[in-house]
Amino acid sequence: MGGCLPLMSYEGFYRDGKTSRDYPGRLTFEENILAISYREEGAEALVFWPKEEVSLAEGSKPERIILLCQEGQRGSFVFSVNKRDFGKILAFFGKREGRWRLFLFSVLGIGMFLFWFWGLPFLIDRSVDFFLQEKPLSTQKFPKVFDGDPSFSMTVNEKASEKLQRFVSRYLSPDFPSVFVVKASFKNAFAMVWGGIVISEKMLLALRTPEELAALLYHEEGHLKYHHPLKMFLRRNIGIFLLMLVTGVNDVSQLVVRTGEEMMVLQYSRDFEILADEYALEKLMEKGFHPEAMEKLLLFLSERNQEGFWLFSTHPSFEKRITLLREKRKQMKMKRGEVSLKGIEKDFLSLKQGL
Amino acid sequence: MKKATFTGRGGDLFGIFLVNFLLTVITLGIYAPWARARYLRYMVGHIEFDGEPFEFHGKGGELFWGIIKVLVVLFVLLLPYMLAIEAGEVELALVFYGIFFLAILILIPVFLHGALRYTFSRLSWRGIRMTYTGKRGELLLLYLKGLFLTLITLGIYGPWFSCELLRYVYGHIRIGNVSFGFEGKGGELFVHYLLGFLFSLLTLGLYIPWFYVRVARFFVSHTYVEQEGKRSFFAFGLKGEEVLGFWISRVLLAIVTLGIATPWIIADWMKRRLDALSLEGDIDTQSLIQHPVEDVGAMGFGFFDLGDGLWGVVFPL
Repeated sequence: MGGCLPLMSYEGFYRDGKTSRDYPGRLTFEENILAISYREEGAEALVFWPKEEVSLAEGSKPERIILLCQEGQRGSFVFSVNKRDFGKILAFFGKREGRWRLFLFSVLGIGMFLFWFWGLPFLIDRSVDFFLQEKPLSTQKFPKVFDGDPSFSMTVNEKASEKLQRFVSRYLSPDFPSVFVVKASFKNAFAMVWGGIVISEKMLLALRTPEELAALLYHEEGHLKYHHPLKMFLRRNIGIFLLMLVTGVNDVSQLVVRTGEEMMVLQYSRDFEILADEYALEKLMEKGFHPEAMEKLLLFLSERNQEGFWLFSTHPSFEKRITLLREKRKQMKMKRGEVSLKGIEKDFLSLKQGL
Repeated sequence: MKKATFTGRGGDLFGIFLVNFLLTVITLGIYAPWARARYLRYMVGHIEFDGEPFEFHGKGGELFWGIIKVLVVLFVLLLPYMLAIEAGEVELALVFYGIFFLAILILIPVFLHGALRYTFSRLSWRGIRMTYTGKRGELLLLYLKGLFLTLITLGIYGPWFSCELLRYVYGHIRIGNVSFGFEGKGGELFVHYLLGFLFSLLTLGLYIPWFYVRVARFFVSHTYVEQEGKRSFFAFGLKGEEVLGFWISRVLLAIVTLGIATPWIIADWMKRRLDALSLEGDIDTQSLIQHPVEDVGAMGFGFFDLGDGLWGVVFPL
C-alpha cells in the first residue's frame, strides 16, 4: 500500500453526508488518519476519519479530488492539489499512476490481443477436436431436429434426399453424413452444426457433372470432419458472450462489439473454407475422381456468383482458392479409386430429373 | 442553466476492459459481476452535473448474489419444462413453457422495481444518495395493464405505455428535497415514432440519426426536477447530423480495429450525449438533505443489468 503524507494539509470543502452543503474546511493527512476541521454556523468543528474507511472518488482529478468516508455516508471532502501532490495522494490510497499503469496496461493489452486472436480460437478448436474425436458429428443423423426446427423456412424434399443419400453412399462413402435436399429460394449448400449437409434443389440442378457434385459434397463433409460449424458457433458466441460480460449490452457497445467480432469470425470462416477445399481435393483423388473437379466447381461457381469485398466475405476469393488448390494438387499423387464410378453419370442425371 | 458532461477517457476505459476481460476469462465468468461494478463505478463516476460527479457505490459481491438469485429463480421456473422434455411429454412441456413465459412476464416488473431500488440506493451526487420510492404492486399493475393494451392494439399503445412507465418511475426518484418527474404524452411520442418510421423508410434509413435525436429530445425535454414547487426542465442539444457522422465514423473504426476501439467509442458516445444535456433552470444544490437509505439487495439488478435494460429506463438517451 502507499505511503503517508505526514502533516500535508489542504483547504477545501467538507460535506457531512447529511446535507449537500459545502462547509469551508481543512484536511490534514496523518499517518493512519485524516483530520478535518471545518466551520459550521460560525463554530469550529473537528472530525477524524480512519484511513481504511476513506476512499478516493472515481472522478477525482488534481483540480477536484473527492475523498469519501464510508462511501460518503460519513461525509466527503473536496479539494484541489497540484499534479505532484496528486501522485502522492494516489499512492496514499494504494493507486498507481502514469508510467506504471501504462506499462501494466501494455502488458495486459498484448496478452489480451494474443489471447483474443490466437488463444481463444486455439482453445475452442482443440477442445472440440479433443471431445469429439471419438464420436464425429458427421456420422450422426438428426433428421428430426432439422425437420422440427421452425426457424428454418426450408422444406426437405424427402424423396430427393433419400435418392441423394443412396448416391453418396454408393459413390462417395458408405458412411457419408446425412444429406438433405431442400426446396429453398437460394442456390447453396452448407454443413449444419448437428452434422448434416444441406443442398438446395436449385444448387443441385445447377451442377453440370457428378464430379462437381462430389467436389461440393466432399467440401461440406470437410467442414463436418473438422467440426467447422460447431467451432464457428462456439467462436462466435463465446467471444461475444465474454465481451458482453465486460462491456455490457447497450446500443453503441453492442453495435461496436458485434461488428468487430463479426469481422474476426469472417476471417475464421475464410480459413475454414480453404481447409475444406483441401479436404475435398484429397477425397476426390482418393476415390478416383478427376483431380481438377474441385477447381472446375469453383470456376463454375465464380462465373455465376458476384464476389463481395474480401473483408466482408465468408469465403476467400475464388481466384485464391483455385490457386491454392492447384499448388496442393501438384504435391499430391493420384490414387486408384476405392469405389467404382461406373453408372455415376446415369445416376446423377436421374437425381436431377427427379427434382 | 446547469450542464452535464462525461469526463471519462477511452484509454482508462480500455484499461478497465483489459483487466475485466482477463479476470473474467481466468475465473470462467465468475468475476463478471465485479467487472460490471468496476465498469459502472468508472462510468457513473465520470458523469458530472454542474461540475460535480455522480458516484456508484454498488459492489461486485452484491451484483454476484443478485445474479445467482436470478439464475436460481430462472432455473426453478424452467425445471418442470426441462423434466417434461426429458420424459418426452411434449404437451406437458408446452404447458410448463407457457407457465414459465407467464411467470417471466410478471417477474419483469418485479425485477425492474428491485433494479430501480438498488441502482438509486447506490447512486449519489454531492454526497447525497438518491432514492427510488415506487411500490412493487403499483409498478406491476401499471406494467401488466400497459403490456395488455400494447398487445391487443398490436403495439400502437406502446408509446403511451412508455410514457406511463417513465412517469411512474421518474415520479418516484428523489435526491434530497429534489424530486424528478416526467410529463411526456403518449400521443406526441406516437407521432415521433410514426414520422420517424416513415421518414426512415423513405430515406432508406438515412433519417435514423434524426429520428434518434427527436425521440431522445422528447424524453429529455419532458423530464424535470422539482424543488420547493419550482420545476426546471432538461434540454438535449445533440443534432442529427452529428449523430450520423459519429455512427458512420465509429462503425468504420470498429471494423478497422476489429472492435478494439470499443472503449474509446463508448467514452466518446457518452461524452457527446451528456455534453448535449442541460437543465434549463436552477436548483439549490446546497440544500439537499439525505433521506434514510435502505439496504437493498441487487436481485433485480442481476436480472435487468444482464441486458443493460435498466440503463434504458434510467437514462433514455
